[in-house]
Amino acid sequence: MDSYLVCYDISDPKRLRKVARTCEDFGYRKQLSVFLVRVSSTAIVRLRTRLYDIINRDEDQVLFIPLTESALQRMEAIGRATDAHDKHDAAITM
Amino acid sequence: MSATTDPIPVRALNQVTYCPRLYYLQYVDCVMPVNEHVEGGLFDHRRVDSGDLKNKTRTDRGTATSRGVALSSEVLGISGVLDVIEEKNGEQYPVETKHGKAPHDDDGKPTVWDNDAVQLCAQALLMEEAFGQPVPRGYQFHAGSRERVPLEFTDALRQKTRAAITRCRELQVLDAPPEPLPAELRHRCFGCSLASVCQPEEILYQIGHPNPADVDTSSAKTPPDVRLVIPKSDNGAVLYLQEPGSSVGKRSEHLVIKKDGKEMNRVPLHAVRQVVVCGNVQVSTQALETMAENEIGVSYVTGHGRFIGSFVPAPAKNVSLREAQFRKFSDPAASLELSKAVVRAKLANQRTLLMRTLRGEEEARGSHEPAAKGMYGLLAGLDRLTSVESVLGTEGQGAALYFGEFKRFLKQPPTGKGFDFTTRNRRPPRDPVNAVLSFAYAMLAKDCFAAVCTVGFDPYKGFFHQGRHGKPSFALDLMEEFRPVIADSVVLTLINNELLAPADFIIWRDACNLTDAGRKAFFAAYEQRKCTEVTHPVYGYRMSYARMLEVQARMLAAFVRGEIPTYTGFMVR
Repeated sequence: MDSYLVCYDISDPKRLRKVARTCEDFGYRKQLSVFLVRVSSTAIVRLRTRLYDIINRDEDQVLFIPLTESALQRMEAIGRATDAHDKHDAAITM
Repeated sequence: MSATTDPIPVRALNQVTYCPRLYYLQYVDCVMPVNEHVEGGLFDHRRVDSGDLKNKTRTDRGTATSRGVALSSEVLGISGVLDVIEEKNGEQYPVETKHGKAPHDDDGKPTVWDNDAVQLCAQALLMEEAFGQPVPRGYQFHAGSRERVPLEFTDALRQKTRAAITRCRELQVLDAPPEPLPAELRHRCFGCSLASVCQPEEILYQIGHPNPADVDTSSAKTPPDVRLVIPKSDNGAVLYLQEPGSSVGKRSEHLVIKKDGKEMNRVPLHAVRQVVVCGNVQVSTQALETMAENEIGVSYVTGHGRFIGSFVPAPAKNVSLREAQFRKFSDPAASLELSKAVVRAKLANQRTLLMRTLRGEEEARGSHEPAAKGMYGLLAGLDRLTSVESVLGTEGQGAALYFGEFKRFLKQPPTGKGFDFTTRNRRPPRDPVNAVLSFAYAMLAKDCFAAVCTVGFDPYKGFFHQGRHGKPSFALDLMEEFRPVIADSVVLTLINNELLAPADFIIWRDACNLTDAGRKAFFAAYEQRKCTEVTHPVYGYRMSYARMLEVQARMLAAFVRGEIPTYTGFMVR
């Protein structure tokens, strides 16, 4: 499993909604345009190709920042609380 | 298996040239996993595959281009959808897109891989038959390096293509896949989307070392030289839905969990590999459909953990494995051998857990425990048994010794509010420890059920738990060796680390059960345990328990189909 921080800057509201919804299919929303994506290498290719088709490549930008396990463990938030992510994200119980 | 007269897809000719085993698994067993390379290829093909452009011809500067042209030939027995056919100066030729970069020959000129050449040549043969004019050359477009490489369809290449068609027909009638590629071609396995199904290194190792016991004694310390081709662990989380009265819908490809009209959470489906629905939770049809499309299995269990059923993507299509399973498990000798293998592993694991847990309690080492000695005796006597019934007896004696000491595995906190255990009881479990044990076995049974179904077995036809109607006997057979190391170990962790308190249980009349909060703690600990990496007893490399379940099920499949000579149960070192 690979972990990425996916952030975007989209200049058109329609594309913005599409990009946000696509990111929600793959990761957890951390901030308004920041997602924590922890998926297989297959799914990350799928996310990248889907976003590639949505964005305007001259005006918009999506950043994929790969995170190591240790970087993820050292994530900290000041201000509002955020969900902790365990080492494997093995079980989600609702 | 009998031969079919269905046309062979030209893509299959590419696969059979690359690796005959790959062809067999994809086109005869019909296993089609997707990995990042396949996904990348789909992206490169999106223009060709898009419906708008299909079967239309566009002319641009004297070149007419047709995309997605379907052709088939009864004479050759092949069919295919051609990416692109171009026509220039009255000459037609196929153009095929490939994801990777072009290989280069000794002079540094870009060329075409052998297997891609066969596929392109087959397309040319189809065109020649359909359009009645010779097709002397075609082009391969490598999307990775953006190079367009010409390819001449020589007589030698045409012969090779016809030979590939014949090879496919030969392979279709086999009952088991051909051997993996030899070691000198192993580089082809890295990046293959089927590596975890095929397990090339593992199968070849076992063919070369038919008796793993011999290897263990000679090289106890050095792990066998098996290269890790398969991923170490499964990807994604397991989603447990248990909030009573909640409903699960989907939006795009994420699940939205609501209760009383209020949104509780969103879960991205691409980060999930399995969903377990426990109790009163509504899951919408749309959500189920999307999960099936994404190959996410959904299991339904009761609040007690009893497995009710599952909603899985269309089951594995390899009928020949199920045929082999029924043949093999109806053979008393094979059933006895397999029963011994799983019971040997189970007893060994119980003994290891017992010795580890009791070590240090008193000065004596764990192996001096009378129960450990008794189990050693049972293990030594296992080889002499001649019937599955007597193996069942030995397993029962082992369980009696093990559960006789189980009380001592539980740490008693100084406040004296700890859990007690006297005997193993079930249906219903009467005290907290038995309740968690039962729940853990139920969860493990569910995972074993999923593992044997993924591989393509019939979960109801077992070799050890025979004649127990309505029980997924085979899933229970596979589970035996994992009971102590996954289920019992989770129970001990939960109780000894005080992750469960008496308040996490409800006792009603004689029956004891976990509460919602208790189950939540259980699920977290159980999935953590499944992520733990352990060393495989035969292959010698590390992988997660979750992966181990599947690897053992696949080893059983290889044994059942006669690919490998023995099955070895999972034993902790």
